Amino acid sequence: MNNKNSSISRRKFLGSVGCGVAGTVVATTMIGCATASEDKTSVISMPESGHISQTLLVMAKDIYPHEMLENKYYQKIVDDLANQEKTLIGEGIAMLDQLSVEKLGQPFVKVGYEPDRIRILRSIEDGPFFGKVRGALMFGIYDNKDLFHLFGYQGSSWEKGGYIDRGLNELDWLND
Amino acid sequence: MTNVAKFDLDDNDVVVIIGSGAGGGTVANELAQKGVKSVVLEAGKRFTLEDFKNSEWEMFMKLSWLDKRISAGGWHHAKNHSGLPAWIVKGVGGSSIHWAGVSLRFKPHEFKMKSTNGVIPGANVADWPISYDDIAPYYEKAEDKMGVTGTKATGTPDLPENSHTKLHRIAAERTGMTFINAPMAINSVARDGRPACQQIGFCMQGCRIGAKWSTMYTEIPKAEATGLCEIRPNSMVLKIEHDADGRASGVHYVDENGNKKLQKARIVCVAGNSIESPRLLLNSASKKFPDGLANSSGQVGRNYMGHVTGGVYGVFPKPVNMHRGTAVPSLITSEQRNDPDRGFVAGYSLEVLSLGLGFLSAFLKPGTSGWGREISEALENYKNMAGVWICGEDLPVESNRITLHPTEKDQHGLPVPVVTKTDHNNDLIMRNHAYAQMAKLYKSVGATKLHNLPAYPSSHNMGTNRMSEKASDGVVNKWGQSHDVPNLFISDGSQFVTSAAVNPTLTIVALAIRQAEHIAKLVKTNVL
Repeated sequence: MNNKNSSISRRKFLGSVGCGVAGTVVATTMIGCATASEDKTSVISMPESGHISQTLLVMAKDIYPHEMLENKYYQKIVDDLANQEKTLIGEGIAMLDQLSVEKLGQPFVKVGYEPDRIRILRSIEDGPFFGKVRGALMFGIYDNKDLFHLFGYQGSSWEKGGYIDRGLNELDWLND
Repeated sequence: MTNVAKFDLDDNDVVVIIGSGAGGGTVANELAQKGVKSVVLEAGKRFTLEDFKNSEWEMFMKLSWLDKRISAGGWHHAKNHSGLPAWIVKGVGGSSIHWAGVSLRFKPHEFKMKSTNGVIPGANVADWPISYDDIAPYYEKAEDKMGVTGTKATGTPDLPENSHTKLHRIAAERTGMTFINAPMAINSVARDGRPACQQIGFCMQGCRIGAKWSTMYTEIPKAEATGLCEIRPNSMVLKIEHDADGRASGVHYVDENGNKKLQKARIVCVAGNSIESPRLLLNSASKKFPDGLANSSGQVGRNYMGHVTGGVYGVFPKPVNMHRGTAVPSLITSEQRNDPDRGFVAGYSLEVLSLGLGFLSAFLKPGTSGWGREISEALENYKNMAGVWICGEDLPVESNRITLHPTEKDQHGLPVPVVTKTDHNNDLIMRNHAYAQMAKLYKSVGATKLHNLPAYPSSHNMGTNRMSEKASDGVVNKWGQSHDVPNLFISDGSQFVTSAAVNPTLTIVALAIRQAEHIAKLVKTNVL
């Protein structure tokens, strides 16, 4: 790998990604300015898919850690994303590993100490790769009606007649 | 419907109303009831109640105005909501589809902020050219029309208390703050052909049963039923045309099939919300009006106000289930007064507001850093959370404004609006005061953790075509009528002079009723 090219590429990819209007016509506009952008000049070779999948799982559980959530839920969200955005995700993982090797001497998935991983993720949180992964997780976990019950959220209620006769005012731990 | 009106493009006897929300939809129906013909051009489509799902993000995508816009200036939106300065609806019924229904009147002093506080450096504060007494009868008509609970106008009871309200009521009692059940434009009993509220929640995703007032299924069909009002959905207005005398003569728009049309007009009412309305006037610049239509004052697009806002969400030891019931069930109003001893002028209200899991995950900490254990742990406590939305008076500042982007164009080839806003120092002090009051309130009922949220993309947009006594100070007179173009009216919240500490819709509707009465008089007497 050509070092000069890859560092320029990384800067472009992880760093100063503009917040232009392109791509804002999606709900991710609500969570920040990270928008998907293909890095056409990349010279990075793609990691193999098993490694991408494993790394995304570790990353996902660092982004929104929930003991109560089995790995399969995280895995499905990130694998679906990796299939939809092959280039962005593949190159993102390669960059993440490169950064991890530079700072900590090993690829991201091998970094055992959570605060170390978080520090690396914080340094790329403004970029489009991280933004895409986080956005997919945010919608995949918190806007997923199959998981609502784990959080005590009840979702759609009109078909059950709302709450007028169904626990509207059950709060009993505070007294007038 | 048997007699839906269909007007000819060359019919220059119609009032053309641009926008069908709280302002435009109300003007259309009020005019129709008085025998005045109108064509309503609405950029969005028609929805039905069946389109309204109890799902926050699905409805956000379905209802929101997502045409290109750019946030600029010092507010956090410039970074965190760069393409979404405001959260409003594109559809027949406009933002009255997603408003929460809170219907509070301005206080008398809120029409007189300049004489109350004098000149405030860095702000462009003025008194309204109307007083509380001028608008009071129209507030009563608006409350009746909209079915506002707990008012003299309707005589209907408050909505029932939910757990979210109970927590805030008790906290207010313990801290000596003033608590009120929200006066809501949501039926507490069946009324006006619409059912009573079933406490479904999801008020801001479109009311599935139509218990909440929206022009979509009240004013609009009532206007159509007269045979005097034609609604044209999917019709984006491009430009207002004027004649040699400088009177508005027609409106250029793109119809539902993408064809450009020109509808002739006797009178034009602009009600496209506070970003699109000034944008349209600026886009209607001509040789005669080089700085934009109705802009001899230079105030078109200026004094853009949202509200001084933010959110506070507390985590409690036991369940609250804030999502059960109406989105905004109650308010704390102790700080709505004007008391400069607190370190800021004007006031704010604290509106109890439930968010669902989806929105809370995005708004708890907006921007690219809103992830990690702090967020996931908070969300695991979802059912034990309660929250408020701060609704504070935002000072008008001339440099907070809507401008046209020099190069970026939208899908119709129109320059994209740039919304530039920077908080006034008064806003910052007020917001911090609100955070401190909320901490006091929530600690009194055992909060274990507090989350202070910055402003959401605003659904309260005001002030960009403001009223004024003198033509040099504003865009329209006390009737919302342009100082420069006598048959051009502003019928939405952009005519607000100041923003008060309450939700704008009731005041928009009251002004629309009053304006329609005035227009009908001018039409009947052939003045316009």
